[in-house]
Amino acid sequence: MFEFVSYLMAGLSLGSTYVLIALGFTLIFGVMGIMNVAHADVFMLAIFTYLFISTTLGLPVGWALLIAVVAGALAGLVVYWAVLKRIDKSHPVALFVSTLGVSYVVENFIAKRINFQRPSLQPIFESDPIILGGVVFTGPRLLLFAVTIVIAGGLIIWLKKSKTGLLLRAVSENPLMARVVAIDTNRVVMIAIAIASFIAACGGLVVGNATLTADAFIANSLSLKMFAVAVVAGIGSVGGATIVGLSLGIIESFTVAYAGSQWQNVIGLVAMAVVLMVRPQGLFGRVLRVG
Amino acid sequence: MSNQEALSLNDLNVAYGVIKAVQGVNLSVAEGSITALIGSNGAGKSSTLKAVAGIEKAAPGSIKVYGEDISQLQMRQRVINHGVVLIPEGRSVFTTMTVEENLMLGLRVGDQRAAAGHAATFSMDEAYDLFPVLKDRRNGRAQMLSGGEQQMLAIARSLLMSPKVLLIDEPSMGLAPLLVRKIFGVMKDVFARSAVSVLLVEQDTSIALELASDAYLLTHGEVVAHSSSDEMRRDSRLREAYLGKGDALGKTAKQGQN
Amino acid sequence: MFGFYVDDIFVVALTYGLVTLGLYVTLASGQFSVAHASLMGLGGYMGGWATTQWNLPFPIAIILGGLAGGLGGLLIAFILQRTSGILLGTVTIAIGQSLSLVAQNTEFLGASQGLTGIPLKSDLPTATILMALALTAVLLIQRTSFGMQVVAAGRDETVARSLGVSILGIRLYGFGFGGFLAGLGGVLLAHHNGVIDPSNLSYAFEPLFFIFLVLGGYSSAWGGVLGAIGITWIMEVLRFNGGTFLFLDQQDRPWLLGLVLVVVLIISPDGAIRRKSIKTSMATSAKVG
Repeated sequence: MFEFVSYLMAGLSLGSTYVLIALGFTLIFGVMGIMNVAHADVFMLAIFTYLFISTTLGLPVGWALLIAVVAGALAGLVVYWAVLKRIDKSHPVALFVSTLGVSYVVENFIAKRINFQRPSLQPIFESDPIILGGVVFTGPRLLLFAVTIVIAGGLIIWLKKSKTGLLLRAVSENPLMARVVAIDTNRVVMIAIAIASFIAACGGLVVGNATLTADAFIANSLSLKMFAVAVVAGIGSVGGATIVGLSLGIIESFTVAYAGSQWQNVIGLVAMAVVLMVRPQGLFGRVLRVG
Repeated sequence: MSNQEALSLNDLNVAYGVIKAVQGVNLSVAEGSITALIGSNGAGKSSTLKAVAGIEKAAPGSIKVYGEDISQLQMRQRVINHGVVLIPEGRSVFTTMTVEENLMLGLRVGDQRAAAGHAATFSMDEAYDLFPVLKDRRNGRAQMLSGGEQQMLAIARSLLMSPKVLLIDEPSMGLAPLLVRKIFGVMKDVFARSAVSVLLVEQDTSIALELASDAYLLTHGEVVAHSSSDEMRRDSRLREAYLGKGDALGKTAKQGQN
Repeated sequence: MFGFYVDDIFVVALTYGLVTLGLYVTLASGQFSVAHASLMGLGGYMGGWATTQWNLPFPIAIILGGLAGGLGGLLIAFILQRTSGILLGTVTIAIGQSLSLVAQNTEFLGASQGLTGIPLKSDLPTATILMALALTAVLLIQRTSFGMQVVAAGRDETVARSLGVSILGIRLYGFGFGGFLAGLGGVLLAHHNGVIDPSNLSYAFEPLFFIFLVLGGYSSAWGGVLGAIGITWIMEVLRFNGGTFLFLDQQDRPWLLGLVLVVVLIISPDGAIRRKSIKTSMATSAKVG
């Protein structure tokens, strides 16, 4: 019983990471119709910005966090303005490759700045672990899970209830129709990217707090999960991404425990392949994107 | 009802690469009237409509709404500043949203137009009065509506946008003719009352001629005939336009009477 | 031939050239796969395994490595036969990463260390012969009617379908042959470095091949190859200045190259990877009336 719960907890932590990164990715995919591979790098940028601000510049933690999160949101917008916006949608391949390029640039640039090392961090938020029924719940992990639930829940509610959320859903479903009802799609896309990047930045920070390392190339392992969650859940489905992300984490955790760690990274891939063959719009996707 | 020209197209051309879909089209729609663009598949009807809406580029050509040239404007500006509203063919509602949300999107535009100084022509209540079935389903997802109900939703939404020029692409597509007539029967009064001018594109010629008072026949991107619907019905060139599909006009007219 | 150092650079350049050629073949056939870096690793592991564990002669190892890459490619094509476009690309990235992570955790493949002690057999003559054969094969195939259909399909999928070209056949060629070439490169790499590890399976190097292809000339088989050779050499030459230029040094090369790729794509997206998707073609024909 004890083991079960601790695997479950580990799985939820893992899954939370996946959710935080997949949410933004699927949001962007829904609204823009493009798979922004570079999104995972916002996650990484936030933690490095935090490190830079707090250690090199020596600013207090609160400021460092704030700046890191804002920097993350801005980074996404900058990439959109500088690159994505300038390549017309009628060249989807070039657009996609450009995201690969941006990712490559950002990762290698950061890596060079830290001499291709992997710095470790001091925990940002620490607390005494809670022990329930013999199982240890560490502070950072709880925080990670809590932040995930709050962000995912907040996003879902916002999309359903707010005016801007409605506009976003409209553009996601049918960009042409959105233009027909005079929605400024460009503005909506920017809002979506800002939100997506903000979430990814928060994600990077809470996960960094839990893992205590910063890896410039983390996107290479994370993006596999990002794609898998988004594809399995379905284009633009935020609630679905939350469920699928957490589930993937849990499944992976139990797989590692009972079958060995080499299978961990195959699950997401297999799930993705199966979904693409059997139900391409994803488990929770209701309609294949029009246009 | 004044005889002002709500919409006038002058030497409109639309090309897709080397393919000339629309060539030198001249047409005008009088205020408050319903004008139809008819012709066989590939004649350039939809392209003309899309050019007016702003989806396609008119190059060259002028598009004037109440005398003002909108051909250089973005689609959004055409909607908000000039009330040029399109009802695209096929899926023209947001299926993942509720009926009310769909209508809200229309109302939002109406409010923006009102804020820009254009009188609001429709309220949510009026829309629901016009189509009571929408009121019943207001919190249901648009996906659950039947084809006819979705069309009603699209029209209601468009009315909420305070249109001056309404562009309708294939209103009868996928719907029973009886239903189309019923819907438009209701609409005709509304249009006349609110001085909304309509340009519609129709594949089904007989329905088009019933709904509209004026018709333009397009073939290969050019206007080959223009007259009132009554005259069109008697014009033999129409039959020629359907290239030996028999007495197409006679047949469909007969079916229409059932 | 030119002295050890220069030979060595050429070997590396030709290795990259082979993989880039593989990328070209896949893209030109209209399949959007970015798995070549991984298939290269796959070929490397296979070839390395062949020489170290089975003690097979180098030429056999080369063929096996190529076949591993080719089979890997075919497997991808089969699993994803109903997917295309960007989604396909994304999945191929995922496959690459997955392979890399799996290899890291697999003991008999040497885990994170990979396969070591691979004999250093990649020399200039071998590399040159392989490249010559590969290029010749690609160019000759392109002249056959099948080859021309492939190129046509690569340009415009609608055209391809209306010509009745077997899409499956094209995919097999694009993925299979493209993968084979990448695998060849992998074997050469493994026997040049003496080691092959999980990082060679990851997607991380893929943008590099895109850079070679895009900068060298995307529209011909020669382009990618020349791009690979040229850029590898330029990077080498730049190393001579103590490697520094203003405040930039060797370790800045990767991101600088990436930046060039992005800039080129912004300026000339049409040229970069020229392919009209079915959607745009269909939209164009549907718009007429």
